[in-house]
Order: sequence, then structure tokens, then C-alpha cells
Amino acid sequence: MLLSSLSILIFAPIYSTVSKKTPQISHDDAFYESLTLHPLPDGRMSVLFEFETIFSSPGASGSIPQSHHSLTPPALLLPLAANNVSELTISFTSGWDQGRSSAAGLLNFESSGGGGEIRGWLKDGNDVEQRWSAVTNALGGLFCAGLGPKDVGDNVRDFGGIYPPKADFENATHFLLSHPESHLCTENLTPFLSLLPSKGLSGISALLAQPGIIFSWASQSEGIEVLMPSPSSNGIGRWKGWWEGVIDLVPEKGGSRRTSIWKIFNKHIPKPFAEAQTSVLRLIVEDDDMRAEPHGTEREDWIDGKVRTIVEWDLQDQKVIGGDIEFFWEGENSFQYPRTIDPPPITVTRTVVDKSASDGTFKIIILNNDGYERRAIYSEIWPWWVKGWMSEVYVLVAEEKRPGLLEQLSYNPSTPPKISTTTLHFHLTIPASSKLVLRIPFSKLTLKYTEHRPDAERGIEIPSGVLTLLDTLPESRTPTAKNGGDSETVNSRRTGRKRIYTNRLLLDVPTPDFSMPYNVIIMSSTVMAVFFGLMQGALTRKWGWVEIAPAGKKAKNQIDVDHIKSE
Amino acid sequence: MQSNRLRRYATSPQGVLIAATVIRLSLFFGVPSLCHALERRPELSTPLTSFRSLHEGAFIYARGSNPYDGGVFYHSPLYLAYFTYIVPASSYALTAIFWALIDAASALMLVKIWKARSKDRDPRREFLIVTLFMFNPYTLLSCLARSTTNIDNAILLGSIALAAEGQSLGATILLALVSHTAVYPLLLLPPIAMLLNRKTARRPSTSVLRNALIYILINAGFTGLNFLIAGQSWIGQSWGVVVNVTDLTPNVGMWWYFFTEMFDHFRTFFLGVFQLHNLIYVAPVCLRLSDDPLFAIMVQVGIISTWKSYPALGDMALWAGLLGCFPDVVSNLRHPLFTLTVHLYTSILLPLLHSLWLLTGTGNANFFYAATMVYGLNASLAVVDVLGAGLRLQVKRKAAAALLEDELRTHTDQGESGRLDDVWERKGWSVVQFTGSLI
Repeated sequence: MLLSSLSILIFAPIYSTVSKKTPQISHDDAFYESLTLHPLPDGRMSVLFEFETIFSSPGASGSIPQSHHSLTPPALLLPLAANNVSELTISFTSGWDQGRSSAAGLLNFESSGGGGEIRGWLKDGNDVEQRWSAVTNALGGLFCAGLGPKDVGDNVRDFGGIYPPKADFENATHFLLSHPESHLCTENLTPFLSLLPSKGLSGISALLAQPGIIFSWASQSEGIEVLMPSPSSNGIGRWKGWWEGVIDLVPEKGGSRRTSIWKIFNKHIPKPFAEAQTSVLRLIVEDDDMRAEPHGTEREDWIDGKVRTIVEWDLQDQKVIGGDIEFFWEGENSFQYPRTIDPPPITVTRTVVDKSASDGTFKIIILNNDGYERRAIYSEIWPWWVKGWMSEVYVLVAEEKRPGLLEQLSYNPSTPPKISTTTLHFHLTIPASSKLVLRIPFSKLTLKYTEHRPDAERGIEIPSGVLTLLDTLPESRTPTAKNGGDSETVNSRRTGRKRIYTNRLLLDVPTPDFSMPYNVIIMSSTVMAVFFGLMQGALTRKWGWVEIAPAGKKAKNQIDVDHIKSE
Repeated sequence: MQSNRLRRYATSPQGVLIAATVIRLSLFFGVPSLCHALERRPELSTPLTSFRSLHEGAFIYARGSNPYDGGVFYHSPLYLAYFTYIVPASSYALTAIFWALIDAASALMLVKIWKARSKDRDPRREFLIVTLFMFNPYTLLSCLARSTTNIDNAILLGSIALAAEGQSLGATILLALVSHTAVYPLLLLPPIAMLLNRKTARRPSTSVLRNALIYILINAGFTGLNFLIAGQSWIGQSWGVVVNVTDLTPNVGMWWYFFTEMFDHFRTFFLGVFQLHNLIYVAPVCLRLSDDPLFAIMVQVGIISTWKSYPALGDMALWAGLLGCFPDVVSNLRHPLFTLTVHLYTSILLPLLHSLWLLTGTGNANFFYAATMVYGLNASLAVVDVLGAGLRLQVKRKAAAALLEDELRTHTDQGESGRLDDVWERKGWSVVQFTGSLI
């Protein structure tokens, strides 16, 4: 996070000079790793692993021998190079609790909303759809997850404004593919470790290579972000992998939050990975009475809208290797759950109200806890069977309709019955200290029997909604307080978190009876046949009349109409 | 004295027309929540006729986007333009007044049809026709739901009325218009051309070829207008949906569940079967009922309203309204009570089973399908019954003309059809369908 994405490119020349210290590494490749701990107000702690590799251009020819990098995995980079991908992000996330954590999202800002997501920029060309499909399928195999589109229509192409390119590629197309049904599982950890040069054997990755511990954590997220070499980056590319989770510090029976590396990972500080340029343990301190033993180096920096104290340890330092680092709150015998937890400056939640099996209304609540107005885009991706009613969309503040707050609505409806997606971007102004409610009524289309997925009764997930803040400021490396003059320490705009995600939603679809096809065909056809038969009979048969005999008498005569005519 | 005049006015066709319109307007403005709830009933409006979709389409169109780009809007571009520029769909008051007036216009057209068909000038009969149409719950509810079915009905009735009066140009223009907005009235071109082909007292006959040519020209004109309004994307999204049945939202028809459950590789074949099933009756009905094209139109309307791809109760209202103009046919029906009670039964069953499946989520699709089967079977049998009644009447007339002229002359106190039925009953005669074929 601190080695935030853009800065890597800006400081790339510096890294390359740094890398000269270690002559055994070929080209300009460099590897950085860090472990960040961030205690949360509710007695839990975020743990974030970050692994970052800087690599040089595989060369203009792109031939395979030249692509064998020393630190970068060919399995990851070759499909990207072969398919002309300039940027790619894959992430799997299992959710986040905005209310308990005082933060609007995960510690890693690039993590998507719930489920899996793959997005990226591809250089333009006629075959861009095929190339995207090839990349998603290749990397899906790498992550043991189906990342490819089930149909071409699943690809979303108008989220380029929400996820702008980090390098200045020209003529590139953005693709996004959401897999809200995907989950993080043990199958995802092994391939993730195999992509790392340290392979989970040494350095910080040794702490991660423990599925029994890692998968007991809550709110997990893993992902990779690859920036392929571009003309502006002097042939330097970068890929970063992260893994995040939330652990409980308070013992089950209550007590203090005292913890340590050993307590969290059941391991001491592992031996360093020889190729790593830096290997850092970082602690973000929220309370003044939090202590760590042994002491690390302290500094202050802007993180997510606040100036926070950061304590760092160099894990390549021989003094800490094989040892332990303890974290505790001075004077805390038993953790008291706080009565109130400061809410994040801006939160967004989504629910379905007015729910019937065939219709509903998305109710999106955006809470602005700041004393100033914010500008943002709220975006949604729906599968084709969710049909929104744009003429009935309302923006409410304090139960009052405020159409003026919705500046612009960009609506790209799906094209049923083809598998496709609806995308929506609401350009909103969120008034200061207010609760903005966005109501979007929708209907669910009736799907064909063959279009239902096998687990139809469970329902189908809708991807997370994204609130993109348009007025954020960069997290400057040095707090303004130290630059003199301004003593600002809190400014929720000064954050790298540009996107806030809602939860996923499980919607059930009105289903037909899957055992019925033959019955329906037979019964409907019977009604049709009955009608046809009766009509045919009425239209083609002769009509005449008979005299119905009164009781006891025989019918006297029976005359045909045509017979009378001839008479 | 005063009350007598009032009563006479109230039982006149004009009186009941005004009363029905006032009731509609008072329901629109008195209980708008009811009207909004009715708008969403799948029995009253399909995605192709629902006001909610129309409003959505007009909303998107007004924002400068093409509503036909996504699967949101299936109405004709003519409606899109009309409800954007002339009666804005966003105005509740204007649309409410428009729909109330549309129904009144339909009723007037029915009276015109009756006048053209019968020499009977009894205002009581006109009163009955207007009352039966305006207070038919299907018409009333469909109007309150602001379903565009009612507009289609009014245009079609206008076309039939003008054709019955022998005004070929007006009839053809209206028929072209309604075949643009609802597609299926296209099948009424042959019987309407036959009707125009007949000599009337006021006008000479017009040739079928000429009328067909005018129809094609006017149709091309409307198509050009559509292209002006919405480019070319409207074809697949309005006519295409009617033909291909890509939207499977439940309605009262026989198609939606059939094509929900249909295997993909048979879909095209059965689409062909279902569409041809509508088409196949045109020629036989026109040939068999060539002596009474108006009756052929009525039978054809009945077939379409039962077997079209997206039917609604409003389509049945049109047919029921037309039936009011044929009292002689109605008196020959075999099972009118059965038909009526099953309609009553389905009008309870449809909303009940729909809510079980789609509102509370406790039932499944078979519930609503069962109700639509009952409705479809009943409507089918009713059409057959009407056709049979018409043919029975034909036999009675022929036989009476040949054998019973004297007896009929002695019964001058009743109307024509009543007289005929009366004499037949006393004779103990009964019309039957022989097992032998026509030829």
C-alpha cells in the first residue's frame, strides 16, 4: 500500500540503481515484500501480505528464451505478453464489514468487491475479444478458478472510467469480468505461492504458506496486479500479489488483545529470502497506548484519510530473524468492546426491498459522515435477466426526492435473450453529513428452461456495486503537518481508496418446473389440436337440420340445406 | 317528469357512454394507487403493451438514447413518438384522459358497426352494446392499467367500422396503423378487403386488389416513419419479439410457458407451428363465411385474441365487444353460461395463482400455467361455439327463406332473430352438424 502502485513507476529509476547492489540478479529485476498489520477498533486486526516484483521488458521480439525471467513466473507473464495485455488485475474477495472496522474497505485498495473479478486493458485490434477470452481462460487455470466468460456477453467494456489505466497506453480497451459466485479456497493459495520467487519457503511468504491458519481468517482477499512494460516506463514492468485477512485478537473467553508474530502465524520470523530487496513488517498504530517489543522505526504518513503512525521492522535484520515481535496495549487486561465505532467517512450498502419473486427494488444507501459534499459515480453490473426501470429511479435525501443530485445517468441495457450485461453509472453529488438513498426498481425476466444454471434454486449473485469517489487527493508521502503551516491530520479526501464496494447480492430467479418440458409441450399442443379439430369440423362439415320428435314420436324428416336450395 | 327524462337519458347510448367515461376518469383520479397496481398485472398488459414499458421507453428516448438498443422496450415507434411528443407518457392526467376517451371511441365504433350490420334502429340495442363493452371488467381494468391494447382495439374497431360503412381509404389506413402497432391485425386484411368489396347502399364496391395495394403503400409509409423515428433497431425489438417470442414474461396466452420449457433445437420449429396456427384459419374462415365478411372478421378476431403470441385480457374485451353486435349469433350459442362462468373462474384463478408463484414465491410456474390453460381452452371453445352459432344461424336463415316464409310473416311483433328462433323452437327443428364433409 505504501509502495503504492504509481510511485513504483515513478521511482523505477531509483529501484534500478538500488538493484545494482545485488549483482546476482539479472537485468533490472527486483523483489520487495512486506507484511502490514492494522488493528481494527473492534478487537480484530487486518493482516496484509504484499509481494512486488519489478521486471524488465522481455524484449521486442518476445521470444520464449528471453521471457525466462529470473524472478517473474513465465506462466503469468507469457499469456499477457502473447495477448497484448497492458494491464491486468485479478482479485478474489470474501466481503468486508464497513460498520465494525471504521474503514470503508480492505487495507489493499485494489481488492474488488465480493467474489472474483478480472479486469484489464488490452491493446486494440480486431481480435481483442478473443485475446481477452484467451487471457482469462489461461489465468483461470493458473488460479484454479473459472475466470473466463461463460458467454461473450458477460464481458463488461464500459468500466474504463472507473478503473483508469495506470500506465499511459494509447488505444487500449478495458475489459471487466465479474464472478460474484467465486470464493477464495485452498486451491487458490498454492498457485499464488508458486507465482512468488520465494515459493512460500523463505521470507514473508513462509508465513503465508500455512493454509490451516490462513483460511481461518475472515474477510479474505487475494489478488494480483500486473503492469506490463510500456514505452513510458522505460521497458520496466511490475507485478504485485497480495493476500489479506482479518484475525481476532481477543481470546474467546475475553482478555487482552496482546499478540505476536508467533501467536498469529505459529512461526518465528522466518529466514530471509535472499533475492528480496526489502522485507518489511509494518504496523499501523491507531491508539497511543499500543506498544511493540522490540521497537521498530517510527514514522508518520497519510493512510486512508488520516495521518497515522507507522512502525517498521526490517525482517532481513539478523537481530529479528528467528525471533518474535510482540504487540500489546499498555494497561489492557481485558478488551472492552467500544460502545461506538467511528464510521468510515463514506459508506455504501445495498439491499433489495419491495421484494417479490418477480420484482424488487435495489435500495442503495450512501452515508456521507463528512462535513462536506462529495462527488462520486455509483456503478452497477447486472446480468441480462435483471431489467431496471430507469424512469422510476429516485434519489432521496431525508425521505425527500432530490433529482438534482443525480447529475447524469449512463445506462447501457442488456440485450436479452442474448447473455449480456446491463451497466449503470450514476453521477451523484452526496450532500454533506447526509444519508443519500438511491432506489432502482427492477423486474426479473423469465428465463428459458435451458438458461437456468444447475443450482437454480439457490439463486444467482449480483456483483458488488462500486462507488467511485471523484474528489480524492493523493496520499502524499510526507504529512502536510511536517511541511509546516497546515496542521491537518484528518482529511477523508486524502486517500488512495478511490472505490468503495457494496456487498454482493443473492437474487433468486422465478424458475419454471424443470421436470415439465414434455408435459407442457403435450398439454399445450393438445389444446391447440382440440381447437384446430373443432374449427376444422365446423368449417368443413355439412350443416343441416333435423326435427326433434316430441316424446313417443319418431322424427319426421331430416333435410339437407343444399337439398332445399336445389328445390 | 324531470326524473323520467333523466332515466331516459341514462338508458340512452350517449348517457351510458358519458357515465362510463366519468367512472373511468373518477377511478383514474380518485384511486391512482389502484391504477398503478393494475399497470403491473401481467393479465392486463404484456411487455409489448404495458404502460410501464412505454413510460420507460419514452423516458430513455427523451434522454437522447435509443430505447430499442436494449431489451427494455418493445412498443411500436409510432407509440414512442406519440407518447413523447403528443401525449407525454410522464403526464398521468393527460394519459388518463386519453385512455378514457379511447374506450369511448371504441364503444362508438361498435355502435357504428352495429348500425352498418343491422337495419334495427332500436336505441336499447345500442345501449346494450355500449354497456356491455364499457362495463366489461376486462375493458375497464385494461383501461385503468393504461395498456396499449385498448388503443390497438380502438384503431382496429375504427377500421372495421369504416370498412362496414364502405369507406375503403379510412379503413385501410387504420388497419395499416394497427398492424404496425400490434402486428396480428394484418391477418384481418382479407376479411376487411372482402367487406369493402361488397356493395353498400351508399358506396359502390372497391376491388380487393386496389385495397391491398393501398394497404401496402400506407404500410410502407408507416414503416418509413418508423425508420425516421428510431432508425432500424425497432424491427427486431417490436415485430421481432412478436414473431420470435424472445420475452417470456408470463401472460394469459399459451406461448410463454411453452417456449420457456421448449428445448432449443425445437424452438424454431414450434415457433413456426404456433405462428402458422394463427395464419392457417384466415383462408378457410374467409371462404366459409364469404357471405358475411363481418362475421368472418369477428371469428378471426377471436382466434387472434386467443392464440396471438402476447395476448392480454384486453384482447378478449375487443372480441366480447364485437360479439355484442351479433345478438342473433349469441342467441344460437350452445354454452354461453359455461363460457361466462369459466371466465369468472379464471379471473379469480389467474391473479391468485400468479401471486402464489411470482409474489409470495411459494408456488411454481405450473400454477400460473394451469390457470392460463383453463383460460386458453375456454377462449378456444368459445370461438368454436361462436363459429358454430354463426353457421347454425346460416342454416336457419336458408331453411326459413325456403320453407317458413309464411309463418315468419305472421310473427311481426318480434325482432328478426327472435322471430326466427321462436318459429324454429315451435317446429321442434334443430340445426345439426353432419358427419359427412361439405363437398
